[in-house]
Amino acid sequence: MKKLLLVMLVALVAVAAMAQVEPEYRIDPYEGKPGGTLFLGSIGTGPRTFNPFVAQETSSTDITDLMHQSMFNSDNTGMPTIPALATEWWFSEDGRTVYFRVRQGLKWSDGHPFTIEDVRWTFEDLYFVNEFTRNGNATYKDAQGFLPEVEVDGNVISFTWTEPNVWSFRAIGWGQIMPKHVLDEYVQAGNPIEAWTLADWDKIVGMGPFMIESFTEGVRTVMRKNPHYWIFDEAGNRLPYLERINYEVVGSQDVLLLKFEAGEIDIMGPRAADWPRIVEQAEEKGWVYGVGGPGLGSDFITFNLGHPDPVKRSWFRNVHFRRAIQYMMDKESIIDTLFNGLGTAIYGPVSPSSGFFNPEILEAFPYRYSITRARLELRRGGFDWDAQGRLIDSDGNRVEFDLSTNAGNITRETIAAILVDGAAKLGMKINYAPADFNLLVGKLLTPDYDAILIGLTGSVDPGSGWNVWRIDGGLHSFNYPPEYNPDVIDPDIYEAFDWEKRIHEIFVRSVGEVDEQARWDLFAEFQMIVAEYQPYVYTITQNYLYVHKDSVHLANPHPNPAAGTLWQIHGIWKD
Amino acid sequence: MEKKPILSVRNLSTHFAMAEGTVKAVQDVSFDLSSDDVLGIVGETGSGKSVCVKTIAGLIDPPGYIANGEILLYTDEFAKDGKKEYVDLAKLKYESFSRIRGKHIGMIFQDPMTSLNPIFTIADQMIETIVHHEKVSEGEARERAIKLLEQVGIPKPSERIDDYPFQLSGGQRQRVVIAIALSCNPEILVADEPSTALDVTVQAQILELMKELQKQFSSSTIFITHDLAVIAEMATKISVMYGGYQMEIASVDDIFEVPMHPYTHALLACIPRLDIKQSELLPIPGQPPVMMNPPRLCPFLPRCTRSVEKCQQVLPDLEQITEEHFVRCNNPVPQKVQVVKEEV
Amino acid sequence: MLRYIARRLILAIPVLFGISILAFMIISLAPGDFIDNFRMNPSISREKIESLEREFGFDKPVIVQYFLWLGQVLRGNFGYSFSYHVPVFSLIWGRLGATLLLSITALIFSWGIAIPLGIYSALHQYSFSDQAFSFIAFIGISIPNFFFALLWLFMAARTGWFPIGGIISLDFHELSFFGKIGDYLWHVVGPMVTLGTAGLAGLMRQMRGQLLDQLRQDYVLFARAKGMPEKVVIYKHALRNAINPIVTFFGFALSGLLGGAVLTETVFNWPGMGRLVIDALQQQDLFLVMASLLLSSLLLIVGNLSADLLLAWVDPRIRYRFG
Repeated sequence: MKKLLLVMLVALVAVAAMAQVEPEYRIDPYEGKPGGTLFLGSIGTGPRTFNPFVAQETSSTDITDLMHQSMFNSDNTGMPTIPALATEWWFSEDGRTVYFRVRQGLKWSDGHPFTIEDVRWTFEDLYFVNEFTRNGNATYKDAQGFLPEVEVDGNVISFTWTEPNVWSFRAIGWGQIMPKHVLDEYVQAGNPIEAWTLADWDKIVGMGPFMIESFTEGVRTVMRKNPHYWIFDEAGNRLPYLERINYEVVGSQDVLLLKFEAGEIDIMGPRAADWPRIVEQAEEKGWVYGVGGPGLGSDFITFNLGHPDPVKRSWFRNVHFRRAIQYMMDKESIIDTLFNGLGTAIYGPVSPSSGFFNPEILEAFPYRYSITRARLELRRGGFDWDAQGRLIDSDGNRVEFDLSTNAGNITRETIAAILVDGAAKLGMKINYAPADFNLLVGKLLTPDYDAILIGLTGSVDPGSGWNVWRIDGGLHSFNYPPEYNPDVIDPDIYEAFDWEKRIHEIFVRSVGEVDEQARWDLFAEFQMIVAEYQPYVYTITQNYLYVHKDSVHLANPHPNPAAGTLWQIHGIWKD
Repeated sequence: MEKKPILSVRNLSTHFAMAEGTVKAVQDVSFDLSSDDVLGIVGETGSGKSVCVKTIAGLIDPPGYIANGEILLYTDEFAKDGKKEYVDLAKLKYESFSRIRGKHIGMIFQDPMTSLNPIFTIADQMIETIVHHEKVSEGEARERAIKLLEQVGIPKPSERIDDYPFQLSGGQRQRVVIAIALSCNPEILVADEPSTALDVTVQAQILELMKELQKQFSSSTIFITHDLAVIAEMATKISVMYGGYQMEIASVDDIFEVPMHPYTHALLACIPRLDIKQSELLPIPGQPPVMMNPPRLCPFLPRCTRSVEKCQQVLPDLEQITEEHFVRCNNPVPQKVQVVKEEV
Repeated sequence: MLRYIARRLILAIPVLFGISILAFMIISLAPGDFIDNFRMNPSISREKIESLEREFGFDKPVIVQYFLWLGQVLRGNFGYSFSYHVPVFSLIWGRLGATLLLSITALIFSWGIAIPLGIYSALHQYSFSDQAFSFIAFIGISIPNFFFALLWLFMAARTGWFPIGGIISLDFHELSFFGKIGDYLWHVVGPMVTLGTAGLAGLMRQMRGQLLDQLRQDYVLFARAKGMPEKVVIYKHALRNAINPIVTFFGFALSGLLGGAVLTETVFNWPGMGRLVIDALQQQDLFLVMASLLLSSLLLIVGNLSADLLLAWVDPRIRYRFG
């Protein structure tokens, strides 16, 4: 109650000062030199859209992310701790309401005043409407399926759900605020998805540090500093330091490397295979290079626990069988083969680079490569070997199943090949056949498969995996409930496991867990369960690699997969 | 004054250097051609008769080459004082040949279907020849071309001249070819089996035309054929070739009346004749000779019914029997009337 | 002649229609669709996937989808790209210029070199230079395009003689008109040589073979026998005939102007249609694929027609057959 009073008092003061609001600029402790152009490369064909709530691929979001800002920013471990357009945020006592205090007196890149109405409009009128964004509004709903009530009180905006909802709070905090004065006409017309296509590159207005100065489709995007940006350094320079950013479209990693070596690109993330070449030249050419942590995403093998064939189903549901697969994978040699040793073995759904990583799983379940341990697990699971050394189950069936992955992905194809090799040592026969990506997705989501090696984009916060781990999630592909696809999944076959239900519960509960430590603990338990039951058998990931010219001064002292070289780009400067 | 021959070929040999060995296509060929002469060269396919005339016209490309001999053409083409003299075509430079061919030696080939360039009009192909040799304007050349077409019996020549070869029949095309060959009044006309590829009736027409034109243009003619009967009426002289060698050369009467070479006999036996009784046509037994690295022996030896001991040892020379009758044989058929004419 | 062209173009309509049905069916019936990438996104709900399916029309039977699309096409609307959210032809037009610049220069490059070399080789059959040209040309044909492209870029990076890919320089917008043209040309050299060398050998051998073939024809012998100088015999008589099949070849080359350069485009960062279409195919961006397929089919038809017309122009036999 005291807090509320305080809020009201502050609001009153704010209203009183409204006549001449002092802009609430942010001061960052950078000591750089203004000016210069940063040259970057974008692999692929370049952006496909400049609409941030439509963009799906990084070649588009790399650009849109520079033009927009959200309530808070991540620190350099990927945690949402740095105030951005909101100066602070807090939960109500019952945890159902979250408040953001929005900065005042700022301006959009076109000079139009930025107000709390833009924030309200962005969420209530745009992001909360399922059809208006490509990703939909599910992320803003609570477990009961309700969107929050939005209220504006002075410079504080609040969102209230029917129950505590941390996940949606984060989604709101990360949500990029859009200019109402530019996009409201699209919202009124019901087609915001058609706003800001590539042709509209010069019409974009945002709160981000850079805006597009010129754009040539398929060639390059030149960005210029936002003259109204709201972050300053301690010396009083309006950031960003860089005058321009030149995003050059580069067809492939090979060419990116050539361009970097020729000095045409300032910062790049090299492939592990090119790393020795980088290190060799670094001193002579004056490059700064480094290895961050393991990447956030990882490839894993999923088994179809609801397989219609009772024999295969019994293997896949057997936890010892899945553990044996984990044991038989020679991850070190995969890492050496694929990544020049610059990779990390992964044993669970949360990357060691994430602040949510629970290191205890490595001690509790030390899955080191061991054919002996794998054999032991199989024997525990009731498997045996026949006279020819072939693996058989307790009913005498020969263990043989299909494994697929998407053709053309060299990492996955190599892992699959080494898996087949390892399985052979156990007398297990894996019929490996790579398939087209779309075909693979179809099989995974039907489900109609034995085993698939695939990967999902990872993020720092394990909560983002709700669609995978909740039993009713669209990507809960290892054990879909019958409601998911009644034509394929027989209710008589279906079985929900206790550990699976517990994970589901963790994900449901974590959404409402306002306390950070309690939420962390929940995800720590989640990681422990996954390590123990291996619903997905995780494999490896490449470590984050970067190299840049020494004339570039990054804002991030330790670039890593959660916060890369371009973290806090307004603080980057060039000699 | 004795008439000088317009063309005198002396001991001409043409060889082809192939990877597998030397093909001796023409060996030691000699003959004289006076104006008004019609020389028929007779032989089977591969006897060297075509190569022989191509050599004379300078149309032998590497790997073919003139191994020996002279080809003396009596002409003023290269004379500085305008007087006619003998020029050895065997030693003539390749580029200079285009002043001889078409102008002094006109040629007609076997297949009229392919002798004309399919994508140029008759006018184009005739005019380029006339303009090149006679240094006249295109208009004048066109008039001459039309006249020539008329002479070779093309109806409505002023219209047909703008046709493409594919718009003409086979016989008409050969008439065009003949017209082109005669367009610059050459002293020598070489016809390489000009009627073989045509229908029998057309064949006769073409031969008739050639006979007529030969008189009209009074050019001497070398006429190549594998069929003695074809030139019996036209030729004044006949040279019989076999395996690259001349077997016999004589006036047309001598060849038909007193042939001396066994091969000539064999050839004559192949002709169906109406004037004498023949029990059957006699094919020549055996195979045509191999031209690759032949032994220095009579090429007809393996098929000869009259071979003697000597034939296994030496190649006979071309021996003069009478003034105009030469034969290359160790055991020629004695000069007597071989075939008794009977009243039909 | 005009009637002939008109007839051919009218006949092309059912062909295009057939191609569109076939292509639409093949793409639609192939496993997966554009939404697959969304399906694999852990943060997109099933409800949203279903609403996307409705939005893109994937919930309807394929045949209905086809006729809905066809109805729009007949009204001149080729649809929106799923991933770019813009009309497909605005995307294609945007890239057409770069595609044509590359394919036409590559065509000129390979033809400009292959034809003279082919003629030279034919006239100097089995000579040292003939063998040398063939050798070089076959090296060109046997090095894969992407590898050649990488070698080129490596060379460019080391020497600085050529740009490391791309189509325009950073300072392009400040250049004069001629400077801009020069900048384009400077950038096109690499991909042009890469693409051009691939087609060079075949074309050169073709030219050589055709000319050798014609030189053996009777009319060449007869032209010589007429006393025509060698130049006339070769360049007028033999060459004109040897060119005929090459002209047909040229028509086919015209129809290939829009495609067939994906790898080269990718390595050289060339913003051409090849990459656009391959990306669209991989993503199953249906309408974009359909539009580019239709455009390519149209070009194929026009290419064939122009090959026939060109052939008629150079060969009277064909011309008279048209009447």
